[in-house]
Amino acid sequence: MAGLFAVLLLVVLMGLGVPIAWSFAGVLAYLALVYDANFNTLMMQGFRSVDSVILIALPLFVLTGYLMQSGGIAARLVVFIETLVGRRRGGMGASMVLASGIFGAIAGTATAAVASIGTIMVGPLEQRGYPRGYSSALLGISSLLGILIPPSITMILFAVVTRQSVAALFAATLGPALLLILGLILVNRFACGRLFQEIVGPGGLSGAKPMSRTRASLNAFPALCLPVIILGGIYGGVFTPTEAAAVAAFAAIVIGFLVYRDQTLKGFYRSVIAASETTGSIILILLFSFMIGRILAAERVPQELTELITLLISDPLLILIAVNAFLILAGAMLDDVSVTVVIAPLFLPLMVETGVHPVHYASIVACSVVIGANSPPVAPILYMACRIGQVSIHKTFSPALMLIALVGIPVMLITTFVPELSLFLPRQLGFIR
Amino acid sequence: MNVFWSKVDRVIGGVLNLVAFTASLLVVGLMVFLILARYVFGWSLVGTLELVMLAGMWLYMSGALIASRRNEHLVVDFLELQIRDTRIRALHRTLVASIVVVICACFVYWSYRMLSWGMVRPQRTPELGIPLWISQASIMVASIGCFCYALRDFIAGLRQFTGTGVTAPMASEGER
Repeated sequence: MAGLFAVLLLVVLMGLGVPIAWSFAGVLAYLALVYDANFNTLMMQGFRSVDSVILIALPLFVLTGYLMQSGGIAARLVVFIETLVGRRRGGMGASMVLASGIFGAIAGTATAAVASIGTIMVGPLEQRGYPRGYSSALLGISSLLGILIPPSITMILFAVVTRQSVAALFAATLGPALLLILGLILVNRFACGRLFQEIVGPGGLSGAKPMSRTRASLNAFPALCLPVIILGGIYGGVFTPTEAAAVAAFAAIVIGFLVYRDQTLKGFYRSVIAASETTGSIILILLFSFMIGRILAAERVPQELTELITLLISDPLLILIAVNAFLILAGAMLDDVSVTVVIAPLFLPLMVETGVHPVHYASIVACSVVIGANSPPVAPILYMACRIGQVSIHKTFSPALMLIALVGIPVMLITTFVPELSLFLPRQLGFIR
Repeated sequence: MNVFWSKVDRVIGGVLNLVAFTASLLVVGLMVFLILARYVFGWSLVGTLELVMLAGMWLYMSGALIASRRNEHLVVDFLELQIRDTRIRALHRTLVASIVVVICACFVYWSYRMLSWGMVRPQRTPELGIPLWISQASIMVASIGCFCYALRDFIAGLRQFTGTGVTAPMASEGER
């Protein structure tokens, strides 16, 4: 009962507009009061959880995202993708999806992808006939490829909270990511000519003069090396995910300053400060949620939840559907970090009892975050995409819901009911049996 | 008085940015050094990770403090965006700030409990023997700082609501 009230309190505090970190601290205060927690040891446990080598990957990947934006890396990636697919039917939207995918393969965050790709592409997309509401919705959902394509900060957080292998979770979400890319490109192609008329012209998407494929490829080559270094390093056994994050950040500094020479000292300083600010906000949420998790685990709340749900629903299929629905609902009410580190781990014992592998469950959670982050009323990524796209949120709701219904939910259902989509790669790589 | 507080805010902001910037560079630099040491020179420098963690904790907490200073903590602003009336918006701001003040006061108390417990039972890192309270102190500093900024927002909201003074723009607003 106290656990249920805690979730309710979290929703109320966040709904009121209390910053998410402080909403978590408020819930912690409530739970500590109810369960009479000892703060000497509880804070120490929270500190120990945050003081983790794996978590150091978080500020490093966030920093990489900001440096890609300020160092001209993101812009070159966009131009490269544009020369590949930009001139086909629906190619403009497809460019945005693919650019977000490659961006995600380097930085692992959705917010940095929205800011980088959105700033470069939404304006020129409008000139090509794409309504701002639609392109902002497409930006919102495709930026979440950063959560599915490794390296993913969401998966790092989930791995830390549930004590799973980061590399295994990275590999698990690659299949759903490819499905999402395919689905978004197909739906975008269908939307062109039906929802709006695409204007095909000679100008480049990025607003610059059109460039030959060879030149664009050469320009983007250093940027394209980054995902190869990161993923090749992790799966080749050369780096740990944290070391790969450090290499990515270092490479982004070198490429920005010495190769592209777009990076300025001021831009670099601002990127570092902005990255530390973003990291700080997330870490406070983590600190409090770790402590909440400790209290809930000590009070056996996840086990009680499992018992209650298995008592109400006996069919494993229905349990999976119910958990999926709850995660989407939670995603629509809460932010992505809250769902990943507090709500989703509550269902892990239930999922394991139902026969779902924790790595497969991580994949399901990532898909629910993709949907939740774009679902009203909270929809943090969609709101951000609207701000970047300078369009009213009301104009994006309808295209966002269309993309969720036609792509997001089918991808989540396929991920849920086809476990091999998530488990094949981790198994082949030897992360799970 | 506003000019004085604005100057104080600017100085604190500068210090916070410096800490965050230095800590970030240390984390990146030390991690890259660790990889190079292992693959190029064949050294095993396990202690370097302890320095990375120390820098990391200060990076996290200075970042959290910068977010509080700039009022840029992650927030669900759905309700705020629906409020059109300036006075109701000021009332909402005051209400949220008052909740944050209470929560931050709890955070200060919890951090104090952790730090004082750590002082009574001192612990050190295994390789370099760095006292753990140096990392833990970052949480204490962040909690006090966040409490002060929450108080600032509460007073600003109250002044705006009662109409006793227009909120002075903080130095941080010009930095965005």
